[in-house]
Amino acid sequence: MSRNVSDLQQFLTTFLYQLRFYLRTWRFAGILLFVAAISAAVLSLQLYRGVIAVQTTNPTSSDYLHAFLGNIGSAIIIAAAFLGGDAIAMDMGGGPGYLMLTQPVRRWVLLAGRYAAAALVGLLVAIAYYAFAIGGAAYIYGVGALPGGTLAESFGFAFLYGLSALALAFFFSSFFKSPAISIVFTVLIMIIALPIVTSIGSFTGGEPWYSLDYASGVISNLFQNPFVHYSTQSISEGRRGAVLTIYQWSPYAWEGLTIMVTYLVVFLVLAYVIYTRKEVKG
Amino acid sequence: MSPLLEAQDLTKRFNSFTALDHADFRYEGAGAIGYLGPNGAGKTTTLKLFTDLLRPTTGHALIDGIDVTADPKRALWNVGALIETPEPYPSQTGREALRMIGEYRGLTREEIRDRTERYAAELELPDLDRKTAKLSKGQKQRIVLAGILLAEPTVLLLDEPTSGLDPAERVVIRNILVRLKGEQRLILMSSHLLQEVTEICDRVIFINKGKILLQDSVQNIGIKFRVTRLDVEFAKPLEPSVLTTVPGVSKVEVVSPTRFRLDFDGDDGTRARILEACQKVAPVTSFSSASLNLEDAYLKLIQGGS
Repeated sequence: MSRNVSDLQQFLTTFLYQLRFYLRTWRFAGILLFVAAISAAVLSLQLYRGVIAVQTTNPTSSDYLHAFLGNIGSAIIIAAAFLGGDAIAMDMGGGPGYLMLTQPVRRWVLLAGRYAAAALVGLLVAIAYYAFAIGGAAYIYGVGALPGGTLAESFGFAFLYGLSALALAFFFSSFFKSPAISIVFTVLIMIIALPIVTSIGSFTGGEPWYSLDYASGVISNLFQNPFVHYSTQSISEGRRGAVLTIYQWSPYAWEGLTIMVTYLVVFLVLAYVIYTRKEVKG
Repeated sequence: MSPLLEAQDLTKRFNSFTALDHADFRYEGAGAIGYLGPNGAGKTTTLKLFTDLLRPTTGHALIDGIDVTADPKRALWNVGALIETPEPYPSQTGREALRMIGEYRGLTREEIRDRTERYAAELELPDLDRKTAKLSKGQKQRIVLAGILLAEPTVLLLDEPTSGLDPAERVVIRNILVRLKGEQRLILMSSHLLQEVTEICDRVIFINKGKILLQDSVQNIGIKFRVTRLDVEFAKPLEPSVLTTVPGVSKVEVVSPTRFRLDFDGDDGTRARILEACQKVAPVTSFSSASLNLEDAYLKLIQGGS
């Protein structure tokens, strides 16, 4: 007969085996390599073309970081989709689920352990991205020129954004029985659909406060000086004489924070509710 | 003291389809219960309700007095379940899968190691350092069974435990189940293999179309459905109608023009009188007798529907 085991101990077991799963399936290494390759490419281009690529007359380290971190949202989304895209579906298609879900472990413990493992991997990926950003800025402008406080704030937002993106990925994952289909769907939705949703605001003029993708702007906008919340750009459509107006929105820090926290709470709760109540019908 | 396994008015509906219809049973102590019924009868649904994979529409599934739906962790603490076709995660090796289950069950490293070695030998497990994705269905199933047994649970819920296994693997599993039954555990196993149930189980539940038709000991079922059968071979071909008039014979089945299967209800005296009567019809060259077995009771119940 087995001894009683606390939820905390089972959480740690889940956490460690999920970490091992990310290492074993090469997801962690794959995502890290992807981020490193992107970062190295951006850094090389900037070094090769000069800091002028930042496109300000007298660029500072903040301008550089604003430009470098402008794409971190996409990297985080890709990482979250691959880390969380099958986190729940892996138990719902029978097979391993019939083994795992018949163990005396509360489902929320499994969910929490997996989420924590995905968050840790996401954190390490974010650290790698920031290491490239900070390394580049320190190389060009010197360590003393780095905006330490803003960097810390930006990193905090990046991590929170990662947590929100993971919550969304876990939520999508709860609808599927096949881990493979789940991960493909989640990747497609998060990489293609989210930016499309955000871009609606660019054409209609409405602020896309409903989009998680929009909130990611905060991560790099913290380095923007002066900060521009809203701007328009008019493009002539040639001989017809029509003018296309593009609306550009940048979230305030409090807006980004609100959107991220809302996504995190709502979708994590939904994923929890679905996972704990879902029946395995086979 | 609460029974180890109890279904209280347990019902499961999927939209308009009733998979399990007001099932009631309670079992205490050790032993093996065979859960018999055709495909779609409600066997797997019952086992899923007892493992929190499904939630009852009405009623309760209780293990050691604890409602599985209300507190699955406590209810399943001393339960090992093999439902449908469980598999370890494909990225894990067999050893990792067993260690993970052992850790969830609160076993020490030494216990996990020792028991893994014991079951590796007893269940003839494949190389435990290979990824389970590369193993056959039978090999995976034996690893899962080892995982279930690792914590030495008091209650075992097994859904066709030998399904998909080759004959040699079946023998291994059957021997283990017989041993476990002798170790004061309660086993509820669904199966299509009536021979297997006869060998392992001492009680049976018959279910069809979601309704429990009968539950009793194997011995009592033999008595309840006692119909004695005689296989009689005559020296010349006969019309079956001449045998239906023999006193005591309830049914005549033609095996060949000279050989007939006669069902009758009664004791050895009745059988002797029937044989005597048969001799008067035509010379009897040979005969054999057999009691109704579990398979006949199963068919009679399922086909009869009550």
